[in-house]
Parts: sequence; structure tokens; C-alpha cells
Amino acid sequence: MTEMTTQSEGELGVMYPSPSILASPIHFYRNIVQNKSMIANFVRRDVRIGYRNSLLGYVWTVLQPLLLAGVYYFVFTIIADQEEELYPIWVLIGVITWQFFARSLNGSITSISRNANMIKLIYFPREIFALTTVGSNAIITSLSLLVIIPFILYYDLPIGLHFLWLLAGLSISAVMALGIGLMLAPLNAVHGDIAHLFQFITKAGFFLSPVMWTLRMIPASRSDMLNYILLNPMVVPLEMMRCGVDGSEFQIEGVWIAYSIGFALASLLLGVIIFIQSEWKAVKYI
Amino acid sequence: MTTVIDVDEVSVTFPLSRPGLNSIKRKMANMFTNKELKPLQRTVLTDISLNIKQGEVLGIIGRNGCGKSTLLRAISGIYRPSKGLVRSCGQIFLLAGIRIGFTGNLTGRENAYLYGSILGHSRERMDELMAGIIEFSELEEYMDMPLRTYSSGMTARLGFSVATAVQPEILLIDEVLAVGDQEFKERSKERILEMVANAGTVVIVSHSFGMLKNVCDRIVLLENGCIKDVGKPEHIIEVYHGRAEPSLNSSSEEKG
Repeated sequence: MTEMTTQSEGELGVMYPSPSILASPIHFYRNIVQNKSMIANFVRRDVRIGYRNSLLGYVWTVLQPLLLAGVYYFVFTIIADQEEELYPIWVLIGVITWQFFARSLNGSITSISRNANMIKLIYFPREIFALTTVGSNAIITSLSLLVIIPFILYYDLPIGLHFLWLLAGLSISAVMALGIGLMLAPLNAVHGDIAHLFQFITKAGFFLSPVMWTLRMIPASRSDMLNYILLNPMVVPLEMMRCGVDGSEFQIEGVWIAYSIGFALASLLLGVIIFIQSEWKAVKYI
Repeated sequence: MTTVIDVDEVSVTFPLSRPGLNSIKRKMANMFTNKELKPLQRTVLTDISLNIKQGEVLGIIGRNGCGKSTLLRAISGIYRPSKGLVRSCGQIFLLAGIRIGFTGNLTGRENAYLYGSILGHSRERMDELMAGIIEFSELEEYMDMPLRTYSSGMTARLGFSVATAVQPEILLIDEVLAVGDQEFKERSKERILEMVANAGTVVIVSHSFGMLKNVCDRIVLLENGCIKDVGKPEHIIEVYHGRAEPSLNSSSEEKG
């Protein structure tokens, strides 16, 4: 079959263009820019509906991590006699950050399968589903971060530029969740097992990552474990979030920061390519 | 006349089973039994070629499962053809579901804006269109109530009003013709006909042969994913009912 345009007068464009692997990131970027309004509306919807039918509304975004942190405070400080004064706020930040990562990741992984109905009725770039999931979670998380203000006042923590660590930590988590999510969303549309697997992984990661503990709590005798722990790319963003709140110095070596950022960016790049190249096959399974 | 949609030997297949354990099992089973394997995929459309011209109203008819909706979806970009190409010029709008993205906990107005943005309208454009949408749906006093308090007819009215607020260049209609109560049904039908009349080009899937006879220039009869016949509405409908022989050279692009 020739691909020559037989009609010289019509500038017919191919429906469903298939960008090459190298052009995929550009295609992805263009789709975001062209659909800004839709993305914003989806994010607004997701942020609103989560809490609209509840009495306390957005208070839940704050209350949930707070209550969870209360439980860990009880277990670690009262039962296990953890002496760190700042422990409650560390665990609170850890829980908020991990919840953001886990929800964004699981939401992006299921983004094709969850939206099967819409996908069958109208065409728009399907990566928008994963983007809006991460976007709405980022907004909800930013709201829930407001809960640290009373803690900062109570512990008399410094106020300053170190707050930028929060932005860095959230950004790395977001990029990583989106990247891995895009990578696996088409596969999950074919095999729903992926979502179940990652629900487990994010639950296990809650304990294996420094969410309810921090690197500072590792006993000196086991410091040989540190390099293995840092292989988990979420350690750096979690610790960044802690430094962003308590103003302490960021102690992880630069090479590990580079590793984590590189991991996030590489997964985004790979995720975008895999998604753009395979989503059209995946939607035929839903 | 200019071609606005060119469907060039398009085949669309859907996988019947998921790759993985199953396919390994099949291969294993095949080693012992020499039975012929069941197909792994279902071919819904086979080598469809169509040339839709500027200003044409094309109807598509056929039994359930013959691939009518899949053809519209392939044209609108929802499914990429497994083989062949769909090319088009102009903005294509598929009128299929009319409550896309609808969310019970958002108000009617918020849902309208969301649906509008899914259809590709900017916020400013929706601000302009909103008055017309409210007027046509007659839901003025309900617009700021959550959608879950709407009856299904009211929801359909809102969806229909948003979906048809803008006159597209190329309109694809999949069975959405009349919704709501009797009075709204009349008006929605009227509006569709108006859109059909005004649109540059229309492809319409329907079972209402009476209406198709009135609006279509040509009708395509699909059977098992293949074009059985193309031609004048009256003739094709007769062929559909088995009262006339299909013109044999069905792929000819003669204008009816």
C-alpha cells in the first residue's frame, strides 16, 4: 500500500499519528500544552469530588495523615521509647509524602483501565489521565502540608529558604510516580495483576522506606546498611521533605541525590516512550 | 469535490485473549493435539475503503456487531487501525456518549464545563456557550445543584446540550438521536438534523431508516466487518432487507 497522498488538493492528516520513539517525548509535551484546559478541569474535579460529600471536607486531607502519625507516635515514642524530640513531625511528613507517592503511582498505573468508558467514547491523548491523577494528588498533598505550620510554631523551628526542599522532594516523587505509572499503565490494561502487585509494593515500601523512621535513627553499628537503603530512590525525596520542615542540613551524599533525580527522570522518559508507543494496543483490551 | 475523510483499506482487530500464560498453554496443548487453534483475535473491520467528500452525509447501517461503531471510532481516532490508514482534514467530532466525565458530586454547571473541556473547548469558549447550553437544556434553576440530584432525563438533556453546543466541521453520530422526555426528544432530533444540515460532512450510524433516507446522500451497508454495498439510500435499505441484490462492485466510489 502506498502512503502517497493521491489527493493533491486535500491536506489530509493521518488520524492517530504514530510518533517514533525519539519523537515520543515531544509528542507528549505537545499533548500537554494543547490540552491545558482539559487537564486543569480534570484536576479540579478530582480535587473537589474527593471531599465534597463529607462533613469535614478538606479537613480530611490534614486529619488523615495526622491521625496516622498519632498512631506511630504512640507506637514509637510511648511504647518503643524513641527519644527523638522531632519524631512526631518526621513521621507526619513521611506519611504525607509516601501517601502522595503511593496514590499518584497506583492512580497512574490504573489510569487506562479505570477510564475505559471514557476512552471508548472520545479520543484525546490518554496520558492526560495519569497526569491529572498526579496533579490532583499534588494539590491535595500541598493542602495537607499546611498541617506542619502549627508544629513549626510549637517546636520553634526556623523559617526560611530550606522550605524549598519540600518542593524538591515533592517534585522528585511526582516525576517518579508519573514515570513508573505511565510505563505500567498500558500493561495494567492488559494484565490487571500489575495494579495488585503495586498495591503491595507501595504498602511494603511504606515500611522499607524511611516513612516512620529516618536515616538518623539507624544505629551506628548498622551504618553499613546505608548504601543498600539508599538504593531505594524514594529515600532521597523523603529525607528532603524532612529537611524542608526542620531546617536541618541535608546529609545524604550528592551522588545519591543525583541517583534519585536521575532515576526519576529516566523513569519519566522511559514511561513516556513506553506509554506513547503502546497505549493504542492496550486500549483494545479494555 | 474534496475528500475530507479517506479510509484506506482499514482493518481493525481486537485481541480475544490476553498474552501470557494462556498463549503458552495454547502452544503446549498444540504440541500434543493437532487441532486447529482458535483465533487469538477478532477482526471487526476488514479492508474497509471509503472516501467521504466535503458536504456529504453518509449513513452506515448493518446488523449489531457488524462493526459500525468501530468504524466511527477508527475514524475519530479512538482505535488505531491494525492495518491501513484513516486520513482526514478538519476537526472531527464524535457524538457517541453524551455524559462523558459526568460526576455526581459536581454541579450541573461544573459538569458542563468539564465536558466542554473534554470536547476541546477552552474556558472562555465555554463561558460564551454556557447561556445557550442552559437555554437549550432548560435546566436554569438546577445548574448549581449537584448532578446526582438530577433525574436521568435531566442528565441526558444537559449532556446533549453540551455535546451539541458547537457546530463541528465533521460530525460523526453514533445512534445519539433523541434523549429525554417526549418534548425534549423532538427538540434534540431537530437539533441533530440542524447540525447534519449545517455540518460540512456527516457520518451517521443509525437504525432509523426513515431518517437516514431523508438526510443521507449515500449509505454504506456493513456486514461482518466488510462493506457489502454502498449507494443510494433507498437501494441500500432494500438490500439490507434482502429485497434487492447488492450492486456487485461494492467498492466503486461512484457518487449516488
